[in-house]
Amino acid sequence: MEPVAMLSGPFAIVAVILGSIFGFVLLIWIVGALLKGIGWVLETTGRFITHVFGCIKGVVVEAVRAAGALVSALILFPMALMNLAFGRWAASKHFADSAGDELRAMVGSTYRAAIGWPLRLVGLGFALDNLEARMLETVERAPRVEPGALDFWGYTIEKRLPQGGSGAQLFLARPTDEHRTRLASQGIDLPSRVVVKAFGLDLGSSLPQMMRENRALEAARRMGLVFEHVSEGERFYYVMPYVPGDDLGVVVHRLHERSGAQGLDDASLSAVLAHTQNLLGILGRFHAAGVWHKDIKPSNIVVNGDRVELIDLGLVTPLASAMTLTTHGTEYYRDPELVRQAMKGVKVHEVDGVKFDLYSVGAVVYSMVEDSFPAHGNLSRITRRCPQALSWVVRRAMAESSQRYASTSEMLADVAKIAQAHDPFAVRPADLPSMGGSPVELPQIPDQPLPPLRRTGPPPLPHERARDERAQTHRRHHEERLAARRRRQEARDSARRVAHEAARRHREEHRSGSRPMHMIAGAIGIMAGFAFLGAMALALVAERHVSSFDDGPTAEAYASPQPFEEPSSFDVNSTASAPMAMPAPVDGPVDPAGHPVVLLLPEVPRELLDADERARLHDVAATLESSFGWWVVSEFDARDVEGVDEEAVLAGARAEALMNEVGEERSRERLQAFLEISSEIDGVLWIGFDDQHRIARHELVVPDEDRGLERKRVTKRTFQRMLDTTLQ
Amino acid sequence: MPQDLSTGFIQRLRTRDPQAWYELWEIFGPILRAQFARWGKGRIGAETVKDLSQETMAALASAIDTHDPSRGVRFSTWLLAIAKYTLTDEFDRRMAIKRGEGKKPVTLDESFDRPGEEQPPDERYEALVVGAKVEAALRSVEREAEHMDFEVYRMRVLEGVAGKDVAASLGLSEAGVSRRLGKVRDLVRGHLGVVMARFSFTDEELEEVGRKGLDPNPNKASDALFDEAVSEVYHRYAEFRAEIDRAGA
Repeated sequence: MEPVAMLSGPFAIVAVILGSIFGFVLLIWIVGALLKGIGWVLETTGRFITHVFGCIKGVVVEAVRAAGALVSALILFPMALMNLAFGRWAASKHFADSAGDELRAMVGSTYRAAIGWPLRLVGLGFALDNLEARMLETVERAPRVEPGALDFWGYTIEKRLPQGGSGAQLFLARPTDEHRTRLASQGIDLPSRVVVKAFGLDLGSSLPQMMRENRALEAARRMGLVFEHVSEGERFYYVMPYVPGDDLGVVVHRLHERSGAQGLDDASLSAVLAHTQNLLGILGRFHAAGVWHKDIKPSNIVVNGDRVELIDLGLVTPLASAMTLTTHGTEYYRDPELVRQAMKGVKVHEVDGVKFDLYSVGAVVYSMVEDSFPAHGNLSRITRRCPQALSWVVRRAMAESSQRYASTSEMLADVAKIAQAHDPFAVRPADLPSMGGSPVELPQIPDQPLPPLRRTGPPPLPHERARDERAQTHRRHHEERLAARRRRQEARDSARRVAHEAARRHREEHRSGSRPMHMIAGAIGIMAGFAFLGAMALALVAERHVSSFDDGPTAEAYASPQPFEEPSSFDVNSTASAPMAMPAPVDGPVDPAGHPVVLLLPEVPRELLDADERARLHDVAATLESSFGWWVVSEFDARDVEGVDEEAVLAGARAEALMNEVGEERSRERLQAFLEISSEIDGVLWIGFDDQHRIARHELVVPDEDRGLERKRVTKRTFQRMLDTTLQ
Repeated sequence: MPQDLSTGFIQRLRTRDPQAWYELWEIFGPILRAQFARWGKGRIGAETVKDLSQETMAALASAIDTHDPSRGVRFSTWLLAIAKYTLTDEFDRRMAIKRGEGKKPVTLDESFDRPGEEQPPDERYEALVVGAKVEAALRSVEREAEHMDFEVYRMRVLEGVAGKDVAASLGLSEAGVSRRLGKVRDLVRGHLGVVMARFSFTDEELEEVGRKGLDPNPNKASDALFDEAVSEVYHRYAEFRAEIDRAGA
């Protein structure tokens, strides 16, 4: 009984209290769980209702949007047709494009209203989430032109190569036997495989890209890095050697994987030093040829065994170019100073392109040592295993421009010192040749596989080229004066012979004593006199012709003159008041001798001009030729001017001023600089149109008042007056 | 003193001076990229990060004409707010495409130009900003100083090489190393003061330099501390960015 008594005592009280607490806690828990459950049910119901209403709202909104888009398309489409009927092609295309956009929006909205939202309503929305946008993106990303659709005459395309950053399409191709034979006869030895780099508006390239590449092509062609180039309609392509191998970034990454996290082991370091020396050797050849690469980075360096090759000539620029410096290049491998200078608008020849290339080489060496790009420029830390002397070389190559290596050979000497050391880590910066250390013998850099240079020295600078051209022109004038003198002499001799013959006949007839014969002889004598005078006049005209123009008429032209009355000069009064006889229509190439040659340059490329504007330009060219006696180089007539590489001068002038408004100061200066070095044309007639397809702006650009058109006795001002009259 | 806005850097930005914009981009472009990469937590691609940082600069260009720094917003906070606006704008746009709705985000001015309502930037972002400013100062010193002088400074201060080793490596005397080091240190102090003033809207931002041990006032006794502080900020900044670059890769 005692335990029972104990339970009924204080223990019972404790047990009751504990039981009450437990019961209370249990109750609270149950109530809490119940409330939570109710909350969950309410929340879920709320979410469900929101979801259902959201989907219904989505369907309604999309349906309304689809209807709105359809209405807009129905309004825009007739507007496109109306503009088409009026011949306003650009406006018609605009409205048609807008109608197309509206129809696309309608299809998208209809899809979302009919499929997207209903599927979301039943919980399957994620399966098709944003499918319409993704599909559109996929379609847009699809290659537009397949390799098989492209045709490069003389080459069979094997495959498409990864696209570079210059907007070009790259193809690996095999030249046909016939084409190889043909080029071999011209001294070009094509290898079995080549790379064709193609640009075109239809291939997705932009005009600035094409222009830039065209300029680079000129420099690359001078270096012999391009086998041939072809322009066809709205695209052009050129053919380069195919360089097999891996890009340096991949090769270096493999070296680091093999060496471990600490950095390059001795063998890998030795390979890196060898690659650096090869790179510097090849780059030295670029600089010696007067060009800089401008885009040196690991992905533009191909490693083939022990050799490295520099590819991608898209930004190659002549060191002495008069063009404005651009910021093109690759971030982290491009000297930030280049960007600063480019933003100041300096010209290429005002900066030292060699040093910008050397900065890039320093960045490439850094990337080889660190297996990463120099994210902080020259302040980037070198954390992996690297000889101190090599760190110094990297720092010096990436230092401020005035303190950087001056040439590839100076940098090469330092790298060679490290590479040739028994222990590269024992070489101190103070031991390097650039720091006063003993020099070492420089390695022989193999020439292959770059084609041998066709030039032994750098290309002439613009002023040297202009001087040579002036000397050539002078020689040509001298030869023409001599030829004219010979012709005059021949004419005099011929007239003398005719007179002599007439006199002889006259004497013979006189001896025969017949009166009618006297009359006949008299007539013959008069005719001979006229013939003599005519020959003399002809000789005088020929002499004046030579002294008035740069290029005198050829002997053939003189023997059978065209029905063209040559003006005494291109003075505005004589030209305006007494219209000249028209030059005869010429089907084949015309000889520009005696005629100023002017290039017709519209503000925008031919492809962006409509039919009206092209026709107007054709009229302008015809008027200039018929009224002024000027030969016009343009894309708007089929006439060839002899001795003028029309394609080259058109491309050159386009590169200087295209897409800029007539009168823009910098373009004008560039055109003048272009004319200074071009002996083929005397001036550029720069023309711009307004929205109504009328010629709204024009300007004649000539090199200066003492050359070019002035030597034809036409000043810029008088020409401008004539031109204004004509264009009005 | 924070910069004079009528003649200072902000004025150059307002007049669309390309050099000033490039300088701003060079210093703060990496910070913006780093910040976007952090916010994205690996879900924003590298190209999108680049685009967003450029769009932030574009938004900054439109905001700078009307912004009034006297409201007391720090430059770094202001920049962060614009970056955040750009990011949310991008997300709004993407979500709008997904939803098929044309939801308009708040305007730029509504979004960032409200002092006190913006969450203060975290310590890491502030460290990035200070690091970028120190790096900008070092970069301008590197351009101005003799190459040998700066290399001495780099080896001695930034790489922590002992004075006598620097002297042996570069073929200099120890006294020569000290002299060149002092010369560059003075330049660093000067340029740091200029950079800090250029990108500070408030006195508090300027005082931050001192708090980080980067006191620009010359003091012989604090030379070692100053060098140590520069080195620490430089390495920390490089580590942060390397970490973010790795995460982005």
